[in-house]
Amino acid sequence: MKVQAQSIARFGEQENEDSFKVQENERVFLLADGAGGLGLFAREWAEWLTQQIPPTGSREGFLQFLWEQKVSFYEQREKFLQNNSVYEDFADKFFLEGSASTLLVADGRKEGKIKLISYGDSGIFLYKRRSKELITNLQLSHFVELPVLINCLDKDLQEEYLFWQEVEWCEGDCLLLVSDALAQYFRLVYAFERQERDFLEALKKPKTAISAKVAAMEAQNHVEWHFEVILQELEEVLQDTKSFRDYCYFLWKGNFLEYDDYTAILVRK
Amino acid sequence: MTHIIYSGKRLPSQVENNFQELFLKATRKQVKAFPYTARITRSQPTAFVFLLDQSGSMGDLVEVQGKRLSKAEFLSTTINQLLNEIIDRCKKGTEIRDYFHICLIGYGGDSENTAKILWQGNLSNKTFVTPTELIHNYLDTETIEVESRRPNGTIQKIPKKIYRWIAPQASHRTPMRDAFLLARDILVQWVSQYSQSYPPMVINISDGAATDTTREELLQVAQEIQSLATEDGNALIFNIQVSDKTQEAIYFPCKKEELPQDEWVHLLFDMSSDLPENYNQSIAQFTGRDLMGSYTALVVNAPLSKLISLLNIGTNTQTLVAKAE
Repeated sequence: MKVQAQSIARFGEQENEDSFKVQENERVFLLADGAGGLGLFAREWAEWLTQQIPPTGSREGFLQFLWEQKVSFYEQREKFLQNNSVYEDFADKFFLEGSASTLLVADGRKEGKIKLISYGDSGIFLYKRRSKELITNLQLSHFVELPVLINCLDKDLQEEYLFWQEVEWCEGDCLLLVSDALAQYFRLVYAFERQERDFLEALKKPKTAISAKVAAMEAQNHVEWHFEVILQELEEVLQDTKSFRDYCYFLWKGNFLEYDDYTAILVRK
Repeated sequence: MTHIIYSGKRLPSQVENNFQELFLKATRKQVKAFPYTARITRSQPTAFVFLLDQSGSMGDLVEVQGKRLSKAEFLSTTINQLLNEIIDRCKKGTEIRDYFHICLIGYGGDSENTAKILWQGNLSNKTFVTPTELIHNYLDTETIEVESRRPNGTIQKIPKKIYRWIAPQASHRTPMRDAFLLARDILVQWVSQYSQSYPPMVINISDGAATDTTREELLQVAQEIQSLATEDGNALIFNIQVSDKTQEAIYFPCKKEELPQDEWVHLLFDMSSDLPENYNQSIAQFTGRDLMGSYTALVVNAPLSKLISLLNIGTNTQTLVAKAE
């Protein structure tokens, strides 16, 4: 099994609000994308969520674990704010808006299987080498609706937004976990490869940032979008941070990528 | 921020020989294929210009959410609340990021015929003000207790500092055209300076009709503002006609036919911008209407109790900050 991962802050910024964990020996991979536009402590919350491997035996157990994490994180931050006067004018933002993040979990501990779990709009992909089929959490709603996030203030998580799937994990299959901007890019590549016309037309309708991305990709008449080729490209650039940064910069400048922090974990079995 | 080249009532259209040149430059931008998608950053902020009716009729008492106060009091309270919310949106860690430039223009108030910029104290010589400048320069502040819900569902009260920048005013007539002219003049310079920014939004809040102009003149200045553009699109105008009466409110009409037969309301419709689609989600949430509609930035007979929600839709800060740098 070959595992590669890189994470960079958005261009011009120091602070990266994404966090990831690779437990290669245990075949467990975690990625959290902190949502800095909401509340405070997005980076800390994303780090917290990737500190320990959540239970993946049942949906209920997983959601219970997240609930416990929210309570613990909230209490820790509450104490932190009480002891740090520099946050005096900012604390109310945490108490009123909380901290928000996505979470992806890929658990391959069961022989021949992998469990794909997601909450939020980060992307988890399993590309089946033989059938060239892509299994992913990303649906149209992830592109056109406000993201559903794990907010440490929320009393309950909404189970319907939890993506939970156990699938065969065969030799040569490629597992990809990416934060939301890269997730949109990879999902669009697959949509172009498969000529998912309804999906692409739906994204083109409202003239939003994502429709600009679809148009930018569509304008590359000379490019044949192949998910497998793009995965190979990613595999090459994940070898070092500079190559990954250059790759993301190129895609961002070409208007294929949203401006964001970028994180990718690629696992080839 | 770099200061605009004039302040107070020294309008560039009156004092600058090259105003016409600046105006033409500001209206002849090549707008990109997908407008209203620019990411806001500290070096590429967007601008909000609020035109606030301070004429005599705004002194009429109304009852809103169980409180009896004048429309002017309610308006200034709402604007102060909105500015507090804008500051909150710009908080990141322990810093405030200046994603927005804000200008408040009052018309009526202390003058029969002219509009003026409403900043006071240390801000009195400024046109646009940043959130950082706002938090350091206010008329007064108070700490209130607000309710916050813990993840376990219990409610706690937390202190929140509330700032105030403007006080209510209500006298004289309604020189609305002068307010639009002032907005046009300061925006001519702003769009020249921030030519790649998300386009500015002018939000006009009034309870009546203009008294300083004809229909044609008012429409012309509105069109001049809408012709100002950054590379990301044309400036937008959002008209909110507030009402204390029980007439039915009309929110973001798609067509003129949705409006009552009223010449003034039809003029407001003509002066209001077609909103780009990135406002649709919040409009659909507020009104329950179709997500794919084509909406006009106009609200007629707006109940005062809904004003803050309407201003949040018009400023769209939640969406803008979500993809801010």
